Amino acid sequence: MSKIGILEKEVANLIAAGEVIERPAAVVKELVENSIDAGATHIDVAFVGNGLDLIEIRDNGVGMTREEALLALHRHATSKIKSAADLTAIRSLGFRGEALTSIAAVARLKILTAPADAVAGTLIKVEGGGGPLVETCGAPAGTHVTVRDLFYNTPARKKYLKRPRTEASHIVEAVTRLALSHPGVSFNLTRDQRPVFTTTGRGELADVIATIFGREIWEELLTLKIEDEAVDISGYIGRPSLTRSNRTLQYFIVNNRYVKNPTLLGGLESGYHGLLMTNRYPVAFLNFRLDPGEIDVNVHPTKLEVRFSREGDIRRALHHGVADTLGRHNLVPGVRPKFSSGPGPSPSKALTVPMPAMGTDARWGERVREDSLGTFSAPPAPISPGGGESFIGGWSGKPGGWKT
Amino acid sequence: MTDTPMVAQYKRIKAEHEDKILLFRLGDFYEMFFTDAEIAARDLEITLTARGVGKGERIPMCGVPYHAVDGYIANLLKKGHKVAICEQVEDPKAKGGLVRREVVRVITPGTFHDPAALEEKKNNYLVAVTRSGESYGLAVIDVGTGEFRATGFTGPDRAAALHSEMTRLQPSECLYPQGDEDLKQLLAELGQLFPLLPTPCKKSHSWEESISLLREELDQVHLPEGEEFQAAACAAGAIIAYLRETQRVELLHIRGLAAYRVSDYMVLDGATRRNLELTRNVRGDIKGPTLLGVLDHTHTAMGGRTLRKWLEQPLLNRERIVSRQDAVENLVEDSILRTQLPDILKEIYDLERLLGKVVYQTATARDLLALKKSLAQLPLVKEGLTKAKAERLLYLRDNLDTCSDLFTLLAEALHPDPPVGLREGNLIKTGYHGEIDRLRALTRKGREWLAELEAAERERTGIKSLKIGFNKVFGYYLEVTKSNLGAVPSNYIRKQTLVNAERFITPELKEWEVEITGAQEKCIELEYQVFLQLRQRIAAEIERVQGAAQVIGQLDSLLSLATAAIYNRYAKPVLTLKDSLTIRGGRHPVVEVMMPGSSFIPNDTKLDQGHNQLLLITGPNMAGKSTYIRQVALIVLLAQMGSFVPAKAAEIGIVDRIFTRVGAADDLASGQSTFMVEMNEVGNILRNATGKSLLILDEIGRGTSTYDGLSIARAVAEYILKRLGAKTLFATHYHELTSLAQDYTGAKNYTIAVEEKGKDIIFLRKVIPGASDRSYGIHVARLARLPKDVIERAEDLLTLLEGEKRGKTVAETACGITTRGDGGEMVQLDLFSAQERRVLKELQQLKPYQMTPLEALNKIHNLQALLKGR
Repeated sequence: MSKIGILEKEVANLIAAGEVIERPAAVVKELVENSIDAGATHIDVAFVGNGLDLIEIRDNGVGMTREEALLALHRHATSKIKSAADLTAIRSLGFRGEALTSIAAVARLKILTAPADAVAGTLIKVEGGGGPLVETCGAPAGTHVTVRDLFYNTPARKKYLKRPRTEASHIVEAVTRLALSHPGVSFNLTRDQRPVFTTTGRGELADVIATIFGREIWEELLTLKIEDEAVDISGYIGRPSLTRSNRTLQYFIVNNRYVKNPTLLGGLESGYHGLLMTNRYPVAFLNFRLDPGEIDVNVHPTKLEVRFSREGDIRRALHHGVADTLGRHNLVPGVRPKFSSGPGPSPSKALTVPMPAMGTDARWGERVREDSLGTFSAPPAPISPGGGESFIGGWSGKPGGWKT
Repeated sequence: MTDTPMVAQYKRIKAEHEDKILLFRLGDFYEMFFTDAEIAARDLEITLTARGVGKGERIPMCGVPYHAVDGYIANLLKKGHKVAICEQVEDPKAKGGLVRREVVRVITPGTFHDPAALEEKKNNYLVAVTRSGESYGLAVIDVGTGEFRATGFTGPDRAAALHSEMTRLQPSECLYPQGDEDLKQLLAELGQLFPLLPTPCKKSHSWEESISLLREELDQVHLPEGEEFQAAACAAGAIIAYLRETQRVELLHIRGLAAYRVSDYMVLDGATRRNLELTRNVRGDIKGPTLLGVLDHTHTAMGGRTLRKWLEQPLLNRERIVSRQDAVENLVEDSILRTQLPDILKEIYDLERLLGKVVYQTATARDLLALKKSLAQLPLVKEGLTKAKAERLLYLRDNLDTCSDLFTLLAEALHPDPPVGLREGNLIKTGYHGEIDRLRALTRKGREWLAELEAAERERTGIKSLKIGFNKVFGYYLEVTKSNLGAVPSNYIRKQTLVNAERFITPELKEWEVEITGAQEKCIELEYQVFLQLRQRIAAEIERVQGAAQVIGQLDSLLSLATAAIYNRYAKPVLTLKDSLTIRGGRHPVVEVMMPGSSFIPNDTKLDQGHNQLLLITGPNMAGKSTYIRQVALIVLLAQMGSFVPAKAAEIGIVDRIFTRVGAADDLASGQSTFMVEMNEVGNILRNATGKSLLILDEIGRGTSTYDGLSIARAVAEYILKRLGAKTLFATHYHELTSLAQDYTGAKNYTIAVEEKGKDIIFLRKVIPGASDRSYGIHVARLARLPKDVIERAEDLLTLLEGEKRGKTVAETACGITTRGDGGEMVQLDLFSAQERRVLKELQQLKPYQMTPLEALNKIHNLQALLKGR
């Protein structure tokens, strides 16, 4: 049919862009994935309002030389289109490399980049797929991408966006998923110049969860660890007392990638069988490791769906893992008195207040921390650091003695 | 005209307090008279009125209501006045005639401690300075927190050292011996930099008197030997004497005097503190971007004050630094620990200043409530630190007295929602004190009885709209509308007529009224007494709560450093006792945060006492030289504070002092020219720097003529290289100085990379080895958009000047350097004429030992002829 032909570059770009870049959160996701591919250990994400006006991603990855940067912009996703089949093939292979082109087609893009140890960096400005402006500039090692006026040339796409607050929360959710998938990378997320969260990048999923979701969630989580021949699962699940009215706090990460999969949902919820109220959903942060050959990545990159070749085995493993973990804990909610027991000290004696040791049943119900973090150590004896501070009021710096 | 008794009383009291504004309590107001009234009306912007004093005379007066007096006092202090509060010490209802009055409190800027009016994260210091022989003594106290320390200064630079320490402390008031003109002058100078009230002291105590004063007042006095500490003791004694005179309460929260030496900490003089913008920026604002601003993520007032102190006094002892650092690292790595603490700390009030109020007996029930809430958090803090690993954190945990007994006491005794005042009841919780409960029950019962009476009377009389009301004039009454007057029984006694109603009483009603109001009054009085006792009991335990407050302050500071480290991506520096300093990917902690949307470009630094002792940085203005040299100083300071640093990695050899000579912050106010100030600062640096110091020098020699400046700059650099051995970063616009690198192995040239694009330049902000051969001054002028004609003419002149000089050797004997004629060295003017240069050249090339005396004489003759020639 003569209707299928070579498309003009700009139009092709717009189509490609439209498919991948549905909303500001997609821009963030693509750029951050670029940064991760570049080996970054620090990624800063900042946005204003709903993300249309401004999104900035800064990383300390390998950066690009001038040539590499221009090349990254010139890759066309559509130069080889002749039929629908080719379109499919190209999209499923390394589409991420084309992120910049897509974004450049629908926004005002600025890239500042430099490889490590370079004296000078490169600044490139692109608008709506037109010719790029290139100049030499001072730049730190890494890449800094600024996206302004997203969808300025596609008003239809702009109209379809949800309210600003919703779009903003999508961006936060996108970065959250990436932070959970990559605990070894430090993410700093800022919204309207106010900090949202900063993860340490020290490699522990526990740290990321505690930082992003806070103490209240963290304290209600139980550790889960399964090694099965089909899959290795590690992470945290919430006590049955910690539920939500929807599935928002369920994060499944497969081989370092956030995914959605009904099998996993099912396995998780069946493990809680009988312990949850109707229409209440459990909380979970779980890492799955399996042979990449046994995963089918779905066609559309943004939908994040996957299929497993050994679905039944994986579901079973998850179900058992959850059930076991839940079974091992006394699930009656504990009461935390605001104030610990123990006799008050008399002023003339030593000042360490005897505390009930952690792990004893001083409280009703067990405490999470023992099991979930594995180790439990008794408080060590007071140590006096060398050269104590010279405190006001005659504190000699020795423990247990306020007067010398 | 004789004065009325009250005016006489006023004048008598005022005579003892002439130098203060006297607030004279008259009923519900504090009044001021005569000149005080005029001053107050002006400074507080309130109305000046007058009061009749009999026989038609009127005296000026102005007043403020007693319940709002705190704000007014704060304002008076801000304007530099001292305030004396004169209260009625007898109950006016008890006796007739003139009520007895006394001054109960004297408030001066240095003894003011109302937490509501003070900046939370900053101490308010009172300082005393004395002189003893060849030394100065300094004692400093914060009456709000109870901190009391003393130090002394000796040696030839003691005046500068005293000045420096005063600029660190920034006290609001300073005592000095009356008659000591030098100290008075010093305080006047300091008063130009920050608000400072100098208070001359008439009485000087000898050393023995001072020591005995101190021993009387304090539990502990630790003072080392030395003349300067004798002076310090006298200064401390002066403070105690002053406090005794002005504060009429026992200062229980001041327990001891701790001595310190300024040299226990990294020495930073006033200029350096200002130049590095540690707590104030160069313009003197506190609000502008400062290093403290970047680091401060504290949640409590104690934490804020502790952090400020740590920043202003970086440490020198490696173990102490590492102890803090390890604690910061623990908090950085353990997210669970780190995210738990803020919520707990946020609920802790300013314990130290609350205790101050307790001591001063001005703490209200609400203050004790705040205390209770804060104490409730202490066990949570302790619990939160259970899984800590760092030694310092464990130490803090184990030494945190949770004061659970005090919490319990307050929880049981204190009313959960007390009013602001102390004479309105509702201070004590039900169930704590039997008699109070009884009186409350009585009051309640009385009210219930009244309600019952109302119902009963309504029934009895049939008047459905009958009401029982209360007012201050008639007490309780029965109110009946006019239309129902017919039904009023005979035992009602009419008391008041209104438009629509009449009010009656009955004897029974009045009996109950006496009971109820009697009970209420008794209850209020009793609650007040019990409250005072409660406050006393807290006062007895001050030391314990103070200790807990200090632990919290430290913990909060460590947490703040950890938060800053994570948020700003700092790295843990390695501290050594070596003399070298290596920074990879260093950034300026304040500038990088103040550049939203841009990227700060990191740079490396290597300094030691060998081949990299003095780094000479040349390059165009605006390229980032100043930022670069300052960031090195800030990174060292942060490292020695125990914090992480803005760099990829850093190894820091501990530095004893940081000196800066930066920019031309003109000291016009002190009446000295810019150059004089600069020379003073440079002189101070060269005299006091050691081999372990870090020097940051920016544009030395700029305030004078080119050749003078260049000479001085070069001489200073050589002195540093040859004699001092201190690590130095020397930014300069004198390109001639780059030849230092050839003459001295310790000097290295660096420049800021710049790329030329035709007539424009792009600042790459990267520091690279090498010398800049051009100033790019004209490029910068073009960026500043000087008129095109000016730029073009400048370019022409430049070509002319450069063309004349390039490739020629220059007789730089004035600078003591020999050149190698390799060109590229720009010189602005010709020092010698062509003839003279030839003569010099020939002279240089002579070989005296190979000449006969006659040849030599002839040569001299020829040379003279050359010189005379033209």
